Amino acid sequence: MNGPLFTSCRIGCRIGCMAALLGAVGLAAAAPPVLAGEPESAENRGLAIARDARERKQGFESFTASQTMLLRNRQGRESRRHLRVKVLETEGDGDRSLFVFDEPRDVRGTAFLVHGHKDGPDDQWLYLPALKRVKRINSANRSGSFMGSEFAYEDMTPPEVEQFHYQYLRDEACGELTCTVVERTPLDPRSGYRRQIVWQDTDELRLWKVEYYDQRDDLLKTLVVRDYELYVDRYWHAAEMTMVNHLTGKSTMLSWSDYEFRAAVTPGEFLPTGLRRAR
Amino acid sequence: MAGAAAVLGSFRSHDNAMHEQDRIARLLDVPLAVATVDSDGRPLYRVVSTDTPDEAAARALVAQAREVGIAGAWYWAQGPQPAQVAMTPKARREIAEAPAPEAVTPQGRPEVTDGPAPDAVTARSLPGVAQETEEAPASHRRQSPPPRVPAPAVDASAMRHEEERSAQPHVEPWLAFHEFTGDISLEGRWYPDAAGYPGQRSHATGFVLRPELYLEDRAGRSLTVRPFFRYDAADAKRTYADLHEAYALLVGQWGANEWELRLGVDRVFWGVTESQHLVDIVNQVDLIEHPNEKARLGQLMAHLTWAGGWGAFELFGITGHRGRTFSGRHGRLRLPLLIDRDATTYESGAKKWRVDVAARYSGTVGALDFGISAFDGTSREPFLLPAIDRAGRPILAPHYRTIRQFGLDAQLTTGSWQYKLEAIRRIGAYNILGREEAYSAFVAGGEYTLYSLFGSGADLGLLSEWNYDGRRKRATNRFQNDLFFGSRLAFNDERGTELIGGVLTDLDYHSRFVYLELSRRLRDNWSLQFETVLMLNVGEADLLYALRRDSFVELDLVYRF
Repeated sequence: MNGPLFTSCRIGCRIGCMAALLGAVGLAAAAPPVLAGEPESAENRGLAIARDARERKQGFESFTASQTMLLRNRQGRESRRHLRVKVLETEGDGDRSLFVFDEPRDVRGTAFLVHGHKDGPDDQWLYLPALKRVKRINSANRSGSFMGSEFAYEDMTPPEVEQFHYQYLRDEACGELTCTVVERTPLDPRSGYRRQIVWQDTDELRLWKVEYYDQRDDLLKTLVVRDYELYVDRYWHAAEMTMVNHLTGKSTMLSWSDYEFRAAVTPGEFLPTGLRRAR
Repeated sequence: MAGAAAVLGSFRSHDNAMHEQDRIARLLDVPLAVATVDSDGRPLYRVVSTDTPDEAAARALVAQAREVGIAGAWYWAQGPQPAQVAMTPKARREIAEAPAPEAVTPQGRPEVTDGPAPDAVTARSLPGVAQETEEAPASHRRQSPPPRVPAPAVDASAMRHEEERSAQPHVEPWLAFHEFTGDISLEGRWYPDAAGYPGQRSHATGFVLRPELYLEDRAGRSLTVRPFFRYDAADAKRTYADLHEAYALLVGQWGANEWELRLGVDRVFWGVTESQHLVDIVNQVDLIEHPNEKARLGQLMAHLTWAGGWGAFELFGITGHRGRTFSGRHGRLRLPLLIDRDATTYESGAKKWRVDVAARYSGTVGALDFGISAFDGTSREPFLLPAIDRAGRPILAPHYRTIRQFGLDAQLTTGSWQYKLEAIRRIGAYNILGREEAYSAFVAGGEYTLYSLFGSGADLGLLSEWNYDGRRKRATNRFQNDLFFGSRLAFNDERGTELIGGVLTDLDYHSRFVYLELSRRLRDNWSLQFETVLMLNVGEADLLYALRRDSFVELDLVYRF
């Protein structure tokens, strides 16, 4: 307890993926999807869907929310993570996100700031309350587990359209809705996946399910999203996301709550100096 | 007042909300009010319209507001409850004069909500996929209960929740948020080698208590108090209390920039490197805590920050100099002669109450984070003068010079690499011979991280830093020419297991210091930390020669509340 020999990266190394959760929550605007009626290649159709989904997430300005992660192993033993999130949309560049950890208690007060960029890697800073230190950290780490959960970095990175190759597969009924099923192949060689299959409903392009196949093309994980709510008349936001690992039998349930759009945030909170008073 | 409204701004600070209300009311020439809603356990002040009885009027005002540059304006279907609204005299007068709007009921929500009314419309348990969490994927075609997606039904539970929140009574009218947290740590340190000096014990067992109180008022002003208390069974000097933090924090906006003022006792960190914190000078080293010189004492100061997209400029007025802490007679990690803090002397006539000043500019340019700093004040590093105490015993008396220091810290973060540099120029300090000597010193190095090592999910960080002091053998600290190699293995498991190790080699005196730390969570509130520091082959000319028998192992059990 005397301050580490050098700065602990207990959560810093893996924290970056939380930014990503924002991308995976399936924020989507309530506008009709643009699905071409004309016959076109499966590649183009898949790409068009991805672009459309991206566009629907824009214009939200700011929001705040709480996240709870429930980690469950094969024996059913559970552990919890709790954190609060603030996001500020910026004009002409990527979003700015601020995360403050409440649980586990040994990382309480740790805060994490991401300045996303449309071109190039994110800028990321970590605030370590024990040392009152703001530390710039690498954003290159894309794979691996976040705080022991079944969510990996790349599962959660806001799915940049350009990071995948797409293949439209089919439309099929999913409940009362119709889902469009697209296969996407990561272009990044560091990805842990060979391919992913994504289910989005044709009405609002909300993400409902993703299957992740590992490099040997075995089904590794399945993400299931549920309880979408519409905010500010425009944005669909999921309240629950569950990732199941089929190899280990472990699962992680991520719940969102206290969601507030256009919340009282100031740009200063999203500066490295503002990070020092995050709590 | 109930029914549709346009929200033209939301603020944590009541003053800011009132200020914006006046400004926007003038801008749009409409009556406005400030509605108080509960958000995340704290009040949130929304500037809302009072004269928009229906959705069309409210939406029209939102559109009008966006046209004049209030981009964040939005349509609030439910509108504020009457109890939430505090009107300015102007708004109150206008409401009184205006005919009662027909579409509004006195008790809150409008009777009829047509259109996409509430804040949240739900779409629960969607399509087929929701039930399949635990199963293989092939069965996703199975039918499931009809989804409620398109129906703009009110989520009744969410509404109830909203009402409960707004009905919350405020017990303390000025206190918006408070929190009492902290930790207690049981610590056992054991020194396997026989003591070098009379009276020294072979253990340091005790506990540490670190409570924290945080209070925030409705205007967003806060007070943080973090005392520190350590009990040590072996060394009476190591049983001590310190006020690490006790400061008031004020924050405000000025145009696109932000200012922040901290008044009171606080701790400030400057720098980027790991083997030593060379540039970091505001707070005194709490050496009795740990020989790595990284623990710090609280410091009385006024700290003003001015920040924007261009970076941050900080100004410090500091007084009440803190003396460095040292082991007592029964403690290890000390010199043969005891250091008597009661015999402290200062170069400054004002002694510990000299007003020190410091300034720092920090910024980010792409992959580069940097800071330049200046400090003018009483040195944090004492020069130790041989003296005789009242009982006639030989002691060492700390003497603090008045110095000036210029500092630079920079980190370049690219891909898996971090390149780090800290450098100082210090004027006015004594060298080891007791003569004034201006000098420069630096730490430079890099850190490389291997992510998902061997596909295991663990990360391995490798770090190397070179510490150099231009005075070399006349230097007053251990980092005159030392090379550090370190590694950090983070398992990224549920327990947050982490292993950190490092070797600091003195290139002049060939001494070697080995560090190892292992930490792991036991349960949510409990964690365990193991640490060892080995002093190997400490050269006779090395400043740390007196510590050659003080290798130790330590085990800490921490409970957080």
